[in-house]
Amino acid sequence: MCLEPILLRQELEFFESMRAKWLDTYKDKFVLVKGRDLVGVFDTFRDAYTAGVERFGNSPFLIKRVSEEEQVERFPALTLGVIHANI
Amino acid sequence: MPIYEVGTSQGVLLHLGPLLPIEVSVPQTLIDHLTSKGEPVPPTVSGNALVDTGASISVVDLEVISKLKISPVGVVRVQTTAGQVDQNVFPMRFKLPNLTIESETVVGADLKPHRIVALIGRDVLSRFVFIYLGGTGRIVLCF
Repeated sequence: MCLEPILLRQELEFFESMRAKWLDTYKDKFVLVKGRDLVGVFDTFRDAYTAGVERFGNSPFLIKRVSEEEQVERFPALTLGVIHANI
Repeated sequence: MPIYEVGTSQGVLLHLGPLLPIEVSVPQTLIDHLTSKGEPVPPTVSGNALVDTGASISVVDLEVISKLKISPVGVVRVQTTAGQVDQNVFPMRFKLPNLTIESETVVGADLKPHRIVALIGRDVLSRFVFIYLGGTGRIVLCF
């Protein structure tokens, strides 16, 4: 799997710094973050994305569900390089 | 219940896996925004997608994401052979015959060596019945 340098590091750091506080009030909601600003809190990803596009257009912004644990995504075939492999 | 069926042969399905012709495009929200501003909407990219029940979320080729000029909207933690890393995610629109799927978060990866434009993961599969008919070389999606 080819790893690209990621954007939105500042937003992610801000989210992590606020996660515990936001869990008290926004648990399972979707927060929209730009820079170090909380732009809005939404019930669905779609609502957050629509608000983000309306405000910032097609530029990077962070949408993240406020949860206690970070879910880990897995792509075994891709990360192990065994798609279409002849073993 | 609408049904989408792809038939190849037992051998092709065995060696290449469950491939679907698919169109990948900018999400509708972004299309609406670009259109309202009078800006061009990047054209749809067509190709094959591999259905991967082992993938927790879907993956789109990095070059396709670049062509579509979609900005990232998030970060997810991804398990790799070297440990866990953070990766950007992008909103995306997949189009199958008679069906458009708005996917909230897909990861980018270099899929060109596999000659596919996308891996369809369980995030998308969660909306379907997926039937793998290995004996007759067919796959069926019911939605």
